[in-house]
Amino acid sequence: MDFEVVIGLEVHLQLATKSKIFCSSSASFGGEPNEYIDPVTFGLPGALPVLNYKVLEYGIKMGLALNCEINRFNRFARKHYFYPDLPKGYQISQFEEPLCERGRLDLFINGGWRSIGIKRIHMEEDAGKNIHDSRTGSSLIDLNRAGVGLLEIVSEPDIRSPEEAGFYLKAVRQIARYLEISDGNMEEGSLRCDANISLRPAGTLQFGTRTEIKNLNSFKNVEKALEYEIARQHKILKEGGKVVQETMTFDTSNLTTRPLRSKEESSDYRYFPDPDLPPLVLEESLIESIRQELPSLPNERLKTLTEGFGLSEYDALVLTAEKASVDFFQAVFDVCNNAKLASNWITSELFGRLNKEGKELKDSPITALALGQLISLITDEVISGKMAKSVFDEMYETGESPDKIVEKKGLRQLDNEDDLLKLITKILDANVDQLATYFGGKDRVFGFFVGEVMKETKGSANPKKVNELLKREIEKRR
Amino acid sequence: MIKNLSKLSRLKITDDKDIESIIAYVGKLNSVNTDGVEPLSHVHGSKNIWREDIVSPSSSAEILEGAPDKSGTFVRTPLVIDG
Amino acid sequence: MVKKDISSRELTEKALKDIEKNSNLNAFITLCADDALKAANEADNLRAKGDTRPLLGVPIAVKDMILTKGVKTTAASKILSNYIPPYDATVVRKLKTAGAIIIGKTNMDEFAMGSSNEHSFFGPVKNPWDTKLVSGGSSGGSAVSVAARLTPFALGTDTGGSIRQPASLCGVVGIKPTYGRVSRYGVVAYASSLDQVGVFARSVEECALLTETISGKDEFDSTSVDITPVGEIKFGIKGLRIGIPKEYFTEALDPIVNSLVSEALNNLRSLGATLVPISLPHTDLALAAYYVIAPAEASSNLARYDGIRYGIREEAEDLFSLYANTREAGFGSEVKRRIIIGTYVLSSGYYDAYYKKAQQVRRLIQNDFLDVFKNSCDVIAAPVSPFPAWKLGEKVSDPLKMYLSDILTIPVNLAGLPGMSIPCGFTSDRLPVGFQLIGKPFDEKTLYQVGATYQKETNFHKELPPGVEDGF
Repeated sequence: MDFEVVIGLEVHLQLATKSKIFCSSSASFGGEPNEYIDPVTFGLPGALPVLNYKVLEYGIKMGLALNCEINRFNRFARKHYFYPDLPKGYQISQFEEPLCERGRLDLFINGGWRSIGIKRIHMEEDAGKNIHDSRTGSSLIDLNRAGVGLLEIVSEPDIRSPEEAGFYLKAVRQIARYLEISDGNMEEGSLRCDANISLRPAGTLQFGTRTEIKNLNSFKNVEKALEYEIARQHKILKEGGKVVQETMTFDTSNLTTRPLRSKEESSDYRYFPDPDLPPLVLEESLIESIRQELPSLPNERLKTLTEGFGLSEYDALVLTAEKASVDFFQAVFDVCNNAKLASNWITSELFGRLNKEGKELKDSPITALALGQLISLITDEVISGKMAKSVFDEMYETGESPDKIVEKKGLRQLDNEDDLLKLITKILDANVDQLATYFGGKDRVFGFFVGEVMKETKGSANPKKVNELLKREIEKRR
Repeated sequence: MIKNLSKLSRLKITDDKDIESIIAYVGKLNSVNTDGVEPLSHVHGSKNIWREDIVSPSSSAEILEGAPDKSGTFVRTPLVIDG
Repeated sequence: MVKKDISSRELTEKALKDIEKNSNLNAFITLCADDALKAANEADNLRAKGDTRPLLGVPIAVKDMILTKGVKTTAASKILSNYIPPYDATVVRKLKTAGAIIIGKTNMDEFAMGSSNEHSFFGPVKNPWDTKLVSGGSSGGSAVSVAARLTPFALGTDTGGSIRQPASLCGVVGIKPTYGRVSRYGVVAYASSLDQVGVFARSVEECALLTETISGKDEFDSTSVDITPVGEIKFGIKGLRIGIPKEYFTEALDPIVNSLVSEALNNLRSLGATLVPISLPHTDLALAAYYVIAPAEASSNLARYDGIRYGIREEAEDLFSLYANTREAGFGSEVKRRIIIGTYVLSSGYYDAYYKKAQQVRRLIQNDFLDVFKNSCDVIAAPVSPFPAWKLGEKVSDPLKMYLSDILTIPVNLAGLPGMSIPCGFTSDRLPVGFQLIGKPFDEKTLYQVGATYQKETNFHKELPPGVEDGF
């Protein structure tokens, strides 16, 4: 019996707002333990929440980017459970009336498009951090993170493989970064993922029993955990057993899943609308104005690069990985008007150099303008492609403009016909034997002549012109 | 049910009788038909209250002073056991 | 003080002495003697320099439900019995800005859950008119502070009648403003959608002064609302239509209460108002709705008391015990009862039948009021408490019986309307009885108008308990 894999992912995205969602303590990362606290964060008696508008704005942006319906009426609800990192004994979240519902994320996987449904997106507050020290038998609580704004993004169970899950997560992260609402970093905790997975006989519609996997801290581990869990469930089902619905954790040391010690009580969160927070009744004009502010999203930029500029899928994917890269590409193109060259120079030369030094695009000593100018020098045939490489290196080292460097070093291509002709004539005259070999059928010798011209001109001769003229003069002597 | 309520609220229950009679009393709410009636959660129809994304300083030291058990600036509790 | 008959310092010293003398009433949990005297000196200096703020240097008692920075705030609970807040409630900041002097924190029912002030970790409050009787609750200490003229003003909170009822039982004026008029920031939360800070005073005019001072939209409280200042109190009620709800005058009402309130109504009529019989048909469901909604919100608001970040902490080997032991030891029986009920009505499977249902009934109750205000009357008058003060210990072991004492005040909280209790007479045992005025949302102005006009013609509010002198 063939089994189909059914995966749903819950992503928590930590928002990059300055202050927390319900109070004006800093939402920064780092900081001494319990530095970013106030009466609201600490759950003091009498403290009351006040919504940070930026969180709402970021939530709407994400909802629009994921093609969701923005619920014009939505509100906050209290979710109750006892845990030391949850100071009020409840988390302010959204329950029956979330901010966004019924969306879609289109993934570009292995050359084709897959649509994953987005069930809902809602706003909520983060909990603090617990450090468990079994040595001293105590736990240490830091509430800096408590109250930071989160978006919870829940997918439909449309994902069909661990690989797809990886793509989905990367796409969510990419969109979050394009929108500049979150760093989306799993390793730093600004993107967290819980995975739900079940198997069912292929072709059936009813869902099998699922398990939930928590505490996944990298894209790779999400895929590995899912792979392991699929195999585990498959074995159980094949042997006629039943999968137990439970919550698992992923053990990174031996790459297996195991059940989390069962929670103290079955989770009856006793949700009810938070009486301290009036509901949100969103005006069309508000949503429209936010929609106007949206940047072009990754899929759009991808299409522009492949269909509009004719770049290869591969190159387009590299460039659109980050908004900064594709914006950089666009800026370079705007100067030099050559998409292919722009793409090549960015992805091979610039990225190559930056990656080697562990630098990011924003740290690049070469600006988009400068690179565009360099490429223009090539297309205008002022310098050769080969020469451009050394100009590039000089630009990288000094940050100077290509024009300046070319002038300074006198690197303008030699393309004065008369001068070149004189040189070519000299070389042909000096290498009669080679010429004879060439006429004898050894085409390779042509390269030798080119080489000689280049040697004489220290590489600054215009290769196209050289080729043209050499061919002509050689034929003349045939 | 009562045992679960105990756990959910972290309290012992000692007077089932009183609690039962109060719960029985509030059951009279079911004597009235409320089909189509919108629940009232904000008495004056307030909506859309929010603030700008600005950071305000706060006196974290004063707030921490009230914590019964600390370790440095961490708040300390007995070891939390979860998988 | 303006006439220089007496200084703030003298007033404050006198207040502290009187409070001491009347410690048997148990109206106060904490006194701020040093701070108060210092503030009094400062007030006298400022007045000498020409500062004319009306509340400058006036001693005020504050219910121990309201946070005062650096001054122990307990909500009359063991669980906060050692709690010193690091911040002031917004209303306290406003008092300080007005130059008032916070003389101490008053006793109350634990976490404001009670109608007799017998559920306090610090012992019951006694009624100054007869110390064998209850003061009413939950703001018993504040009511007594004004009734016994220990202070001319006190702040309280009212969630189901906790200002109006003790005001009636103690013979003082007490107001619960419209929900949202006064900030709840820094006020220990009991039932968030019902709680309001309010005022006890000797007269309607003084009550209005202090209420206006503490009113106003607060950026720290999302439920607080922009209000227009009330301005001068208008006297005279000719042509005003006063609604008399028949559902508030049932056999449950003690005959003396019925008679005294009726007299008050007749009085208002002779002053030119028109009495209009009205009906608030869903009144009999208010108690049930309240005892679903309030406990539900309380169970949520009290989840934060776990001994981890503040308050008392009990010994525990593991985390579960830390929570359980602390809450078990820290909360009194009434509080525990309401938390359990609240947990029940919110739990999965019961939410729709109880909490959601109660909120729907709440809408019906509010509609009753809004309808009559739209169609029939400008203000409503009714009794406050079905009976005058009762004996200490009499109802305390029957929770449901105790709950019934709020049956006339609760609907006003559910509807979010302003309500004010005004003394209107005495029983043959010389126990005070009050009547209440209920206004349209944010129409405190009309309450002051009717109340002040009534008090021009009557002197009930000037009567004093045995042995009490009015030094203010």
